[in-house]
This record gives sequence, C-alpha cells and structure tokens, in this order.
Amino acid sequence: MSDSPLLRVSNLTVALHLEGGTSLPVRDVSFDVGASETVGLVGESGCGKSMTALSILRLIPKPPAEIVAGSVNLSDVDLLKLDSNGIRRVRGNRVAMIFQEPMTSLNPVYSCGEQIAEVLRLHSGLDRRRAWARAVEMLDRVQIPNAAERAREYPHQLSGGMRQRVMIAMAIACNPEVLIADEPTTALDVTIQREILALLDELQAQLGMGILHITHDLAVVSESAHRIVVMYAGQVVEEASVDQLFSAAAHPYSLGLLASRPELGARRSRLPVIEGRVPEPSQEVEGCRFRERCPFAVDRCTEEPPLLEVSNGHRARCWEFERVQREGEWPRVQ
Amino acid sequence: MKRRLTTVALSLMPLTLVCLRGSTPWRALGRDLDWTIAVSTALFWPVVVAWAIIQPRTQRWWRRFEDPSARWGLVIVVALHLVALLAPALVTHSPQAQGHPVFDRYLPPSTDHWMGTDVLGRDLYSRVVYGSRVSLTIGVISVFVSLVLGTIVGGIAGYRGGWLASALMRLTDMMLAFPRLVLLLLAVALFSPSPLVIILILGVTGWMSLARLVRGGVLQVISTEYVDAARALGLPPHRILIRHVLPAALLPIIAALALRVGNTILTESFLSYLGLGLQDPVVSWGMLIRSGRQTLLSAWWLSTFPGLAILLTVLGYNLLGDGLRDAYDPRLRSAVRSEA
Repeated sequence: MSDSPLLRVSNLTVALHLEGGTSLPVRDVSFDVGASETVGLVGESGCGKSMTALSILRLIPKPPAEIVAGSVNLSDVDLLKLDSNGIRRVRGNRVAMIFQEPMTSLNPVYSCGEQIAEVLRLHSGLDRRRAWARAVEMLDRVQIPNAAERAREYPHQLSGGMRQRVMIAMAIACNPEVLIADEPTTALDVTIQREILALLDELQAQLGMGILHITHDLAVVSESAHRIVVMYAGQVVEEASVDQLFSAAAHPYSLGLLASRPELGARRSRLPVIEGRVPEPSQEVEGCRFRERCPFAVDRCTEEPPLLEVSNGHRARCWEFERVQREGEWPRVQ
Repeated sequence: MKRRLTTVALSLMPLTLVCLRGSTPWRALGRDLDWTIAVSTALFWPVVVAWAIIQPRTQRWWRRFEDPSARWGLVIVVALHLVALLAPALVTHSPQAQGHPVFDRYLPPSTDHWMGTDVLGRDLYSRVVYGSRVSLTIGVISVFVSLVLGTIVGGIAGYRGGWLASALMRLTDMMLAFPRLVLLLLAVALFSPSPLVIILILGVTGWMSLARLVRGGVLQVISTEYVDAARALGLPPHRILIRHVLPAALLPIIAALALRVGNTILTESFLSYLGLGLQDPVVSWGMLIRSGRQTLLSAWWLSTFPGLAILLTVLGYNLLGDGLRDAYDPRLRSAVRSEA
C-alpha cells in the first residue's frame, strides 16, 4: 500500500498460440504488490492466475505462450525487457516462487540442504561450506526441528508440510523482495495449511517482502492477504482490500465466489452455485465476459466494462456495481 | 572442493604410474605403452571421476557401493582394469614368445604355465592377461562412443522436440531395424579390422537403444516440477541440464551401460570367433577361444580360460550396473533396506 509499489504489473497480456488458433489466457491484467504487503490473486482453475504469476518471471513455455503486451516493473526495472541473464539473476534472488506441489517440486536425488545451498551458491556466491551453513540456518528459520540433521535428508523422507517448508526456505534463502506463492497450501491438509500461512506471515514480518499469493480458496487469502485481486476468464474483475471485498463485493463474480463458500454451522442444505461455465480463452465474448452467467446482467453488458472505481482502492469491472453492492447477495437457485 | 580434488588425483594415479619409467616393473609398462592402453586408461578413469563429480555432494562416494552386488561388481571391474593396466608386470612369459615346437606345445596348466600353452607353445596365461587390454578397451570405449552418440541424439530429441526430434528418432528406428550382425559384417568387410575400427564399428552400431533411453529420461525429467522450480530459482539452462536433468535422465542408463560393456565384449569375441574380428598379432579373448576351438576335447584349457575371463568381466559389469542403479535411486535404496 506504499506509494511506489515494489512490483507493478501493468496491462499484462499473454497469448497462447495453439493449433486451433491464438487465444488470450491473460488479458490486460494490472495490479501492484507493495513491500510487506500480501496480495491475494483469486480465481477458479483456468482463469489465468497461474499464467499471470509465471509471466512475471517469464517462466511460461515460450513456443506456445507469448507475452504480447504490458510490463512488469520490479522497483524501476521492467522484467519483461531484461535479457535472459538479467531475468535469471532476478529469479530466486529478487523474486522467488513457490509451487503448489511440494511433493514433486524438490529434486528427489539431492538432499534438502543441498538444494537450498545450490541457490545460495548461485545468487549469493557463497562457497560450499558457508552455503551449507546458511541452508541449515534457513531450515531453522522455516521452523524445521533438528535443521542440521534434516538438511541431510532427501525429499522423500519428509512429509508434505515439511517439504513445503523446504521450498519456502529455498525461496527466501536470498532475501527476495517479492515472493510469488502459487497455491502453496492446496496440496496440504487444513492444519498444515494454517501453519504454512502463519509461517509466511511471520517471514514477511521479518523480511518485509511483498507476497503475491495465488489461490482458488478465498478462505485462505481472507486471513493473510491485505488486498485481493479477483480474476475471471483472463481479466481482473475486481480489486479490493479484504474488508471491502468481504463486506461489499462489487462484482457479481466475487459475490458468487463469496456465496459458494461453505460456512461452518450454516443451515443451508445446498451451496449456491454459479451456473454455466467459464468461456474458453479462445472464445471471444462480446461485452462483459461474465455476462452469460451473471444474474445481474442488463442490456448494457454487451458493451465491455472497464475497471470502474467503486471507492478508494476498490475497483470492479461491472457497469452495475452499485446494484450488486446494494443487493449484496447471490440469488438462490430455484 | 578438497575432496573433489582428492578424487581426481586418486583416479589419475594409474595414469601417472603408466608414465613413470625407471624402476624395473614400470619400465616394462612404459615400453608397452601403446595407444590401446593409453586410450583405455585415459577414458576409463575420467569416466569414474565424472561420475564421482556429478553425483550429489552430501553422500560419500563409497556409500554407493554399500550394496554387496555393487561392491563385488566394482571389485571385479577395477581388478580387471588393473590387470589390463599392469599386464606387463603380471605376466610370466611374453605373450608372443613361442616355446619349443615339440616339447612346449599344448602343455596342460602347470606351475610354469598357469593356464597351459597353445599350438605354438605360447603361454596362455600371459596371453589372457594381455587379451584383457584389448577386450576391455574395446568394450569400454565402444560403449563410450555409443553413449556419446546416444546422449547427443537422445538429448537433442528430448530437449528440443519438434521436427528435429522426429527426424532423429526416425533415424534411430531405421538403424534399429537393421540386424546388427549384418551391419557388423558389412563394416568388417569394408574396413580391415584393427582395434580402432572394431571399436568404432561396435560404437556406431550400438547407440540406438541408448538414444531412446536418454530421450525417454530427458522427456520425463524436463516435465517434472523440480525442473520448473529450478528455472524459477534462476538456475542457468546448462546447470539445470547438468545437475538436474542429465543425472536423472542418465540414471536408467547406468545399468544399461554396464550391461552393454559386457555385451560388447561378447560381440567382439563373437566377431573374432567367426574370424572376422581382430587378426593375429593382436590378442583378444574371442580370438583365444577361437584358436582353442578345434582342440576343445584334447586341450580344453585353450578355450576355457579365455571364456572364464569373459564370464568374469560380464559378471562384474552386470553386478556393478545393477548395484549402481539401486544406489542412484534413493527411494529404491530405502525400499531395499526396509526389506532387509
């Protein structure tokens, strides 16, 4: 929320060239991540959130996918304009990333300490012994007990939660300015999820890094994120602080997402659903891309809405945001 | 770093020994320093060193040989290579020295001639010892040639993909569709069989299955998330390839390689046995078996001892290959351990 954001993604557009033709899985996406700020990037599978995250570090597979427009500024450097050596020095060093599958994101043939040490030797230029010592320190920092012994163990000897901690240790080893967490807790069970989220919060407090937390689970980001960016079909449909989103969602899709969360102790027999399906990225929809599934749709929706200012720091891509906020409830399905 | 240097130094010691001239046994070595042994030692030991370097650092290298079959395989293989290296110091007679045309022919094994003598009264033990140089060199180097070709073809096909991959794999299929023996016979007919020619022929006709294995391995590994993660952590491509892709991709090949060395030695023996392989002043085990063929019933030792040498070599390489494959897969290892 600082004035000059650490990471600024503006107008990012990614094209996917497949045999069936070209589609745009990410359309004109913009958002900021400030220092010590956690931004939740929320949306359902295939809405382009992972593609956005990968594009920030230019990790999308180049032949089929291509970044066609936009910029990604880290402080004042445009990551999209760096040469391949330049971007490599950013990856893992200034911007680190952790992935969804801790079970497979570690190389099974190297010990955990070895893998953390490798990153340190690469970016910080430490020698083998110092890198190892620092790797043990990092494991300790992500609250792995007996770090010195654990460092010598192989990934298959650790539980899922432990492995995700190792991944986090690898990611924060070089004190990155921004951490991109792509569904970091999805593969873990609920209690471990909480521990990992708490750990991320703690590390953020210590290191002051900005976190971009990508998830399909609103409940997960509601606790840790400061701001939430909701994506639908490749576009940002709403951007708001957590409070704004939960108390006064301005886009029907966000409202639908909020409504379809199960609530402990609620007496509803069935959860509301958002009818219909996400349009394929290749499918061109006239006007608002959510129009066909939207219970609030009006004639004007055939004209594509821009991101409209709802209130301070709260924007939504909907002509009818006032009505959505006023009604504030997803209509029940008969 | 210090340990890596030690490994290198230790591995290169045999080479330096070869170059040492002066004291009596080493003078014999120096005199017999022909290209075969030079290449054999120059290649065998660096490969061992390369293995030691590529492997993860946290494990001591000898942990790989905790498994009994790997340990015995290593012992046999290293012993055989030492025999080849130190042949001049180990023999009791010159391998070419002919004995008395009447009294030294077809002598059975005795304390003087440990494995007996042949039709010309030459000492079979000395010939088997010298034969190890040729047979092992051919086995190891032609497999090395196959490995290099296979890794290039399979690696490019796996890493690059696209039309180039298709072209390379169709070429591989074509080569595989040819019966290897026909290719070998054709090549032997075209070039006069010197050790170098035999090595190249065996190497060039043997890379196809390795290329397939490498490609499969590379494809499997580059689609894993830890390669994505390595990319996200900013590792440069060559480092990803060397540290994360190739070790894992070449893993299934280790066993195949060792098997192949044994197999290639057999093939070379087979060619020599048919009389299409190496010709006389060069001594290989296959030739020795061939020369004992007609007298198998009267002078059994002539074919038996070289045959045993081949058996031991193939056994050693197979044990080593199996053991190493287990050692390189931590999951497999702990599974074996928990069974025990």
